[in-house]
Amino acid sequence: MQKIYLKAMTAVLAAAFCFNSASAQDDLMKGAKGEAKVEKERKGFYFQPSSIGLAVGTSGAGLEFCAGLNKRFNVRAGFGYIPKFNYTKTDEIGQYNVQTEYKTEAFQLHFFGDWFVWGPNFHLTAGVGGYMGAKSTARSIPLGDIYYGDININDDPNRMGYVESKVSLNTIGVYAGFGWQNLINTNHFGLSLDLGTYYSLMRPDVTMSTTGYLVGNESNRQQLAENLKGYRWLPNLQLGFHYKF
Amino acid sequence: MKKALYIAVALFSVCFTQCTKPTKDFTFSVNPKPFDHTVTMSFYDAANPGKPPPNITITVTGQNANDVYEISGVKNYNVVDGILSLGLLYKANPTEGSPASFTVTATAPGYLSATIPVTIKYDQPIKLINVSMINKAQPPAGVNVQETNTPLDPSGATSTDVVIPPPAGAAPEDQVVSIDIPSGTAFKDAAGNVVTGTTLTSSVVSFNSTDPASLNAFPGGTASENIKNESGATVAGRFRTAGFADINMNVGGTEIKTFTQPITLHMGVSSTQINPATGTLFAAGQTIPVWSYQTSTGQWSYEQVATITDNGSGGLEANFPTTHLTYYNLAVMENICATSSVMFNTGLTTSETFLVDIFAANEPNIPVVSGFLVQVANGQTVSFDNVPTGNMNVKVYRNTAANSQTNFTIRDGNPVGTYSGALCGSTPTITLNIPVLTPITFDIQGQCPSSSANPIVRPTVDVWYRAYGSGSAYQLLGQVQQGNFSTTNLNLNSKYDFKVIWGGSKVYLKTKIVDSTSYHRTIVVPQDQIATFCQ
Repeated sequence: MQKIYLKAMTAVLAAAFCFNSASAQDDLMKGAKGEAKVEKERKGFYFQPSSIGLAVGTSGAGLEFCAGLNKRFNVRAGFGYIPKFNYTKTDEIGQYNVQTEYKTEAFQLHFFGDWFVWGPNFHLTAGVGGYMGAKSTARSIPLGDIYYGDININDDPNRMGYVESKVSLNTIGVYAGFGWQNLINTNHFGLSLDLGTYYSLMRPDVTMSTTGYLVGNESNRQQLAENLKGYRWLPNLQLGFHYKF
Repeated sequence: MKKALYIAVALFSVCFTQCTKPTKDFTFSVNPKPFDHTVTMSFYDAANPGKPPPNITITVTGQNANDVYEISGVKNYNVVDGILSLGLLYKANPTEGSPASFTVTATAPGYLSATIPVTIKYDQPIKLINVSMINKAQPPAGVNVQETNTPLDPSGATSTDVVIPPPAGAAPEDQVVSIDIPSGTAFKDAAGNVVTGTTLTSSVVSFNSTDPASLNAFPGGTASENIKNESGATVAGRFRTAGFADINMNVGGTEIKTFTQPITLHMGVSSTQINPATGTLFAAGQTIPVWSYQTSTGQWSYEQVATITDNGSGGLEANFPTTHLTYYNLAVMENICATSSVMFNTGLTTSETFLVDIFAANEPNIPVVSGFLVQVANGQTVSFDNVPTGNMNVKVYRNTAANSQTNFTIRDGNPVGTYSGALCGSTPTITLNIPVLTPITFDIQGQCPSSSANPIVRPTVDVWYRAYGSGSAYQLLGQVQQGNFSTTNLNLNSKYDFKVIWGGSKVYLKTKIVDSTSYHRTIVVPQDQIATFCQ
């Protein structure tokens, strides 16, 4: 998982470098042609829808609507959905090789406010988000031959059973982060990047159940809840592809 | 600005890698239950039920012998403190109409060997078989042992008419055996060769038909699927015995199987027992079939009909000639049915064990099935083994220390449920009238070192018990399954001795007052038991 993440980060860096350079070149070309645009600056706060777009990142894929409040402040509202996906991992726990199949999905809504500190691109962001129905189900089974006396008892998965852990999150979290609104900037399209983290106001709910020969392992529930304490920090990396009005 | 981007991504990465691994400090244990059907055998000295015979050797043969393990999962059949717990591997689970079967043979020095055919039906998860073993030097009431030496002539034959008498110490009501061997009788081995020697050594063990200790020693159990009837057909049936005997002879250490001319057996018959064929007490002039049993094959065979006569001492006997040696059994053989079952309405929220006695309608004193242990949940159906056709009287008792699993005369009062009628071809319902009882629940686990194969052990094991200070034989209380057990057969604030056999070799004894209705215990396994429990 971490390798995938690092590769993604590398790709984002490369994209940011290239597109930011192109965007700066665009601006230079406009200047060279002398096609300066003079806009009349509005005073005070207003609500000016500015873009709608596709947001993709660690919080899922969804839509995001953006509106300007003035030259320095934006507001954004959007949602993201991580469709159910599976992956399998093998760990060594005690003397057993344990294979766990994870099934995860999540849905979140968010409301952000952006403060453009120095210019029209870089911004600091604060807001709230709500995770609804975020859950991960992990089903663990031991691998290999396991003997009870002279009997190999791991030749029938129905009898061996499994340990099933369910972690669910239905919570509101506060958000803090920063980003760039216009990594790519054309008249009608823009590419944005957000980095930040949610902090969940509630701990994930953890349940654990067992079947078959694995009865008794539900005693790990408390340890799992303890290990997931730190998972209230939910990092967010999001790319946005916007259509500007 | 680019610099800010790179720093931000680096910080983000660091944050992400600091989350705790979800499985950190987990323990993982496997608590297997590979047997859906278990058979617990309790071997005891027939004269002293609290004392098991020492050095019992077990052999398992038959159709499903390869699927039978000691309950700890090994193929070593060790009888520990008289107890052997066997499990049938789940791959050989019986199905409806297709039971599993095997034969257990037990031998011990100084004791008559015992052959126990075992049949497991699909709805019999737990089976208790109490095996009475006869100590020839100290037989129980109702069993008599007579060992004699008779001199032979140089050809190895009797030189005069010989009478092998019954034991002088036999009680007047005992159903003893005497043997008439005419002069000139020679003795043959299993191959039919005449054996020569100077001395005929005889061992005659006679068994009453009314004493529980004696009936418990009936070879192979009173029901059999291997009976050759008078037509020569092999049938299943149950014997209503009027007495049986085990007769063995040898000349110079060679086992004798046949004779050159007939000998006459005189087998005692009880005048206070009901003749199953007539419904009246046994009396002179009546007849009774004679059956023989071969220990090596487990087969019963019809021999002849014997006439009951006065024995000249105020009692009764059946006399008949024979030319071969074996077990002999005076009995009416009744047809049995393949399936007979009862649904139990216990009214309890958890499974519980009960004892069941089944009497033929015309025999209120001697059950055809006694002390049959069932473990049932409310509304559950249980099958019985080898029930005779015809009407039966079923009596259900609580499996408390006051009701013996080996002696049907020890019952603490009225049964908690009864049924009268046919069992074959029907599944009647018995509603139990049980006093309001508080179940005692157990949730037990053993804690092993975290480096063990199983840091947490939740055992599946039989629990035996007896009332503290009773000195009686331990009785099976029930089976703990993966650490869980519940019973209403223990009285609150009463003291009991408990026994658990683990790993086919260890005995754990504990005397405890039951002072709580709920026991949740995590027991740290002692250092010297880690190898047994935790690996």
